[in-house]
Amino acid sequence: MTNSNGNKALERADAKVKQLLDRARNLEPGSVALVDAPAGAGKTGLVTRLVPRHVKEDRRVAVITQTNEQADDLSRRLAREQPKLDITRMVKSGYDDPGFPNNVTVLSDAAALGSSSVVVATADKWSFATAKLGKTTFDIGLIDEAYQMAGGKLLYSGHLFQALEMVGDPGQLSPFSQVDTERWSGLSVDPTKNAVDTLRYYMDFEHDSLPVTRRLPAHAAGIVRAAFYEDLEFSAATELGARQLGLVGKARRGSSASRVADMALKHGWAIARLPQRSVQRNDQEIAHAAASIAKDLLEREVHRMEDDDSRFDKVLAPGRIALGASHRDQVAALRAAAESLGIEGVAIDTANRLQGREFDVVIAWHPLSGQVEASAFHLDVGRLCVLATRHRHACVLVGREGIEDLLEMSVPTGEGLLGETIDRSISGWQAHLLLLGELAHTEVKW
Amino acid sequence: MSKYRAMLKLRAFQEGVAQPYRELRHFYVADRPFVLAYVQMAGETFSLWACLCGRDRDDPYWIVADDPRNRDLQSEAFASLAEVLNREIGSSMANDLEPLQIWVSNAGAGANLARIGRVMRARQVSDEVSLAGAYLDLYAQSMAAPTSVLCMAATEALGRQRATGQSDFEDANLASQLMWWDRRVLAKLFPGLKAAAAKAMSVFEAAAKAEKLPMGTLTSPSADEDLDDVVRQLGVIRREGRTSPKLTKQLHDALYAQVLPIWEAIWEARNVVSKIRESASASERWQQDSRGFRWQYDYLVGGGKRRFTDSPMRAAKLLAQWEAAQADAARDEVAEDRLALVEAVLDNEAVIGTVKKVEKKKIGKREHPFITLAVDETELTKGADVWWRDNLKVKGCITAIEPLKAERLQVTIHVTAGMTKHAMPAVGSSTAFITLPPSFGVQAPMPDNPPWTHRLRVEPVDDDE
Repeated sequence: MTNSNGNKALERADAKVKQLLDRARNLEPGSVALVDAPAGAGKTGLVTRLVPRHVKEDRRVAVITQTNEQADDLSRRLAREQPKLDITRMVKSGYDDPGFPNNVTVLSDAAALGSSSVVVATADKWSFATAKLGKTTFDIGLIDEAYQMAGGKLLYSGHLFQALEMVGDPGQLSPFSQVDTERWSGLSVDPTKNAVDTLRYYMDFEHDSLPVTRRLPAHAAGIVRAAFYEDLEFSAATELGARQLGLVGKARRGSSASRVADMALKHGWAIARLPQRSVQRNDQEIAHAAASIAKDLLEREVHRMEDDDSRFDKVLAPGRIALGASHRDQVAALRAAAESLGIEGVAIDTANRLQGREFDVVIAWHPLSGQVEASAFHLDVGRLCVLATRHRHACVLVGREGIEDLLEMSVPTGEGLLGETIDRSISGWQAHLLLLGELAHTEVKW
Repeated sequence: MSKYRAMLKLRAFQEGVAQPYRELRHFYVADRPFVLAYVQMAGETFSLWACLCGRDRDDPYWIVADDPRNRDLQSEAFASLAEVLNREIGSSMANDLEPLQIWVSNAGAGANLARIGRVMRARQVSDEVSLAGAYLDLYAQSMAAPTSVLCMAATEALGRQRATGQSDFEDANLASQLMWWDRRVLAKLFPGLKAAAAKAMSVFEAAAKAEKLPMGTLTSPSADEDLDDVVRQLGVIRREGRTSPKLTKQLHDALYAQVLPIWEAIWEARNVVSKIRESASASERWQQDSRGFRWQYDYLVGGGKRRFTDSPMRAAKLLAQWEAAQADAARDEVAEDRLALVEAVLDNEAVIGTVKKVEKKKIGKREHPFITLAVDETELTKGADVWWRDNLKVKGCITAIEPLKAERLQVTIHVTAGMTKHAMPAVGSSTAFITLPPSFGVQAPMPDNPPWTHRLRVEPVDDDE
């Protein structure tokens, strides 16, 4: 069975990509272009098509990523999809080669770069490489995850790139510094401001967005858009009900985990609510609850139905489930809980490290659960956004009662800085309330 | 707040006395700091109302502006402050002594120094006042640099050493925080109160009494009504071209009563923390502070002007410097201080254990050193990079964590860098590895001019308009 609505959406997405590729061809030196992409809209796919398009026009392309993992993944994917493309992955010295296809050359000495036409490296590596590159320039600097990059990093390497093309997800985590940056808050020179906002201060540039999220199911796209991407227009690639999960095993009587799992499979969302308590960050009960929901799903054997057929015939593998949290000690608690329940193969990590990854079911530790105060760190819209947008099928939020009360108690006043169009603490606060409100009917008392 | 600090706060609350958060003092404290205790009129954060300052506790300078809203009076007060400050800074620097370390009561008092400094520069009263304004700006801004102690807020100095059983908000009142160290200090802040009587109070009573004292930059609201009245009367008299020594004395006495407890409390705080043994790396950081100040001093005295805002290049460089300095200081603390190590272990940033084996295993052609630790507990995971606490040059990676008897764990560390014959933990010894990475020692070089990405596009002006 085909999915006519879904096909239309995908056609729209393809048309947009073609349009963006055409635009890329006309990008002139000294100019900047931006593509905003919501979660799962095919950002990396776009990058892997933009690069060969530029190469075809005889342009040298520098790809700027934010982490080494992103650079490795992107190099690998580019190499696989464009076997004729020669790619240089520029790394720091002493970097362990994670293994690449044959058309990727790993290089640590920037001076030996020669005339490679596609070079992939992190923003930091580009900064350090600049001194060794002399007069070398690239026709295009392609920034992946531009919203995660501190604009100040372009001060080191900006002159290497004649034009910039930025691709990013505006809902994700912003650059963050451990030191006090109040000295620059609200100023254009703030070096922690993301690359998009930094460049926006200095110049006007073209701005477009990808219109379809392939990852998020139809029942999630609208809520996610309302909570995290007010300014973006996008929809899901599939119709409601085209993508579903079904359980083979029966719910265990009296099991909270089973009730949460049932709710998540029915609505694609669930909020598991433990009793209110003020607790240390690595709340063992939350960790145990989250892990036991994963265990319930695995034990009862989940079958999934994908967009392209109507049968529940694909079994959900452990690797398609993720447990996510905000802090490393929470992740440690989740790992310990998973181990004690005998769960293996499930991805367990922080929101930071789950960015850019995709799963069928995500069980997320609510960032405000059990907190006495809602700090700017926890209100940051990006952390919740990452956790609530990794799933293809269902997302479960696990938290304690009282999150709404905490939010009501800590209405952020915002800094009200001139030149700041968005206050992240306010938009984060709104997103938290909106998401909980929209999902109120999926609550399950633990 | 870290788990360790949360635990200390609970214990402090229970025992009624501040609990040691660090064994050593990780910041330099000058023998003769320049203490600056001042109050401002409510709503006049860019001016000075009254101030006790100087390097001698028994012989401070007293500066007062009878009405800080009157520009002439304000300028006079600025000129007096400038004279004191320029003389003290000038004589230290000219004699190649260390720079002045300025102490204020709390972070807010530090932040308002920047405001006062900016007005002193912008008002153009005189070159002397502008110079002093630049110094104040420099000192106030140095507080944002993570490892600088050119300007110390007394509340933070105390907080870095011990944890009290009250909130951070309550701790921001210096007198109140001091009660958790020594209640007898209350007698020095309240004339007429005996030290024995102060000691007989519970810490909560003492802190409650202490927090009624103005310890920030504002006078106490109860004093304000009387002060306001006197200032108004004096204003009328001044406009008529007359003076009133009696009213003036009344005003000065009232203001002095407001500032004196701040002055005393800052000295008390300085004295108690100065008695704590200083860590080895603290003086290195102070040397950096000194070099930085020397550079700025030469620049300012040579006629240079401090920019009011940073260029994008300077902002990015400063951020990189600060991040590196903070990362290195955090490592130094854990390496030098056993209590900092405890905190790091609880935060999963370190692991303590007994060395079971130090051996070499062949991987490929080369032999690699491995260290095996027996530990009670750790939430670190396989693959984590670690550095040996006793010699931070020794770097390794956790390759295995296996259960031992009695719920203990065995952690295997593959040493990948920095290990020599002389740098090896001894079998049987108790040691620790930390996960805090070193900062990038070398910062990427920055071009001299901003790239095209950081240049404003100026539209050509249309001549016809």
